[in-house]
Amino acid sequence: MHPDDGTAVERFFAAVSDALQPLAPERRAEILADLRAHTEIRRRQSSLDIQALLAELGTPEQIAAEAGLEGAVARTGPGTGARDIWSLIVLTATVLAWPLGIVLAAASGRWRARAVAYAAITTVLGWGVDLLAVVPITSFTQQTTCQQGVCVTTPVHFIHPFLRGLAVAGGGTALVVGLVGTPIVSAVYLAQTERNPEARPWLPVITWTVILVGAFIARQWMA
Amino acid sequence: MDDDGSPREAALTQLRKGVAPYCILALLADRERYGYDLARELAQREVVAGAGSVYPLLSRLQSDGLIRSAWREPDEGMPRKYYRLTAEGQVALDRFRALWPSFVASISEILQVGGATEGGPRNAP
Repeated sequence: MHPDDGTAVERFFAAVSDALQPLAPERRAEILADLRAHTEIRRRQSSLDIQALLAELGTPEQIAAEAGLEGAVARTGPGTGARDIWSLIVLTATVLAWPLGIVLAAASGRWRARAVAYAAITTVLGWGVDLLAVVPITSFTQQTTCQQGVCVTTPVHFIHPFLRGLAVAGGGTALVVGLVGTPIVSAVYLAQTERNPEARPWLPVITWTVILVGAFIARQWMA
Repeated sequence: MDDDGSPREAALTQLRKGVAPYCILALLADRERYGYDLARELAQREVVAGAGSVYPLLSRLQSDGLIRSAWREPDEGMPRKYYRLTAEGQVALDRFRALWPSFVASISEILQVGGATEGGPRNAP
């Protein structure tokens, strides 16, 4: 793609975004993401130049004209709001019982597999690293000393009792934050990607980085 | 609309408004389809002004609960969002299908004979 093509595409989508301004942000983001996906598929499948390709989409005004705030067709009965209720169920389940939430998210088809995988990895990583980090804090080895034929076995902690106390407290806090926090991060990320499937996975990636760097530092410090 | 050959487009715009959403429902009646596929077909048939107009319509139909979408990951290429009709969408489509033949027949009759054969309004004093 010629560099100017990228500019033309971005100018077009900026104009569409402006034209869709009256819509709720999540609907605007969804429509823009769909239009971008359409453009990308069309670009791969045809030899048209980018201007012709964008012309096929119609003008930003024509696109916005179909995004009226009223319903598309006459309703058959009271609105069910089923979409919102389903999202609420999945997101609540992810926070309170994340394996169930992840299974429901995968089964619903509302999220791309990648988004579900990122949400699952976030919580698995948070819980897994927490558990691995806390075990060494509370573990100890045994030391056997023998004097005049009498052997005594005593527990020897890896670190000074005072520091160990701090580590247990800190590790415990991290455990709770990890256990409770990472499912919340997963749910927030799912909510974000439901509104905009093209959203970059910054939230899970930052969370993974914090978890892994935190675990690495803790491990170095305790060693 | 200006008059540089676009009166046809202006007339089409008016006609499309009421029928394009039902055409989407009809295309989804027998099988699920993905957005790109729907957009291309509806644009080729001139049911919408451009392929881009289909996505706001899909969004509206979905928020009305008449269609539902799900992501599918093909073996190759980008993930695709597939749409299918809900039970409520089927009811709306059935109702439209029941109305359409008599509506078209009525309009056709008016357009062909001006609705004047049996002393219609045009000839009324």
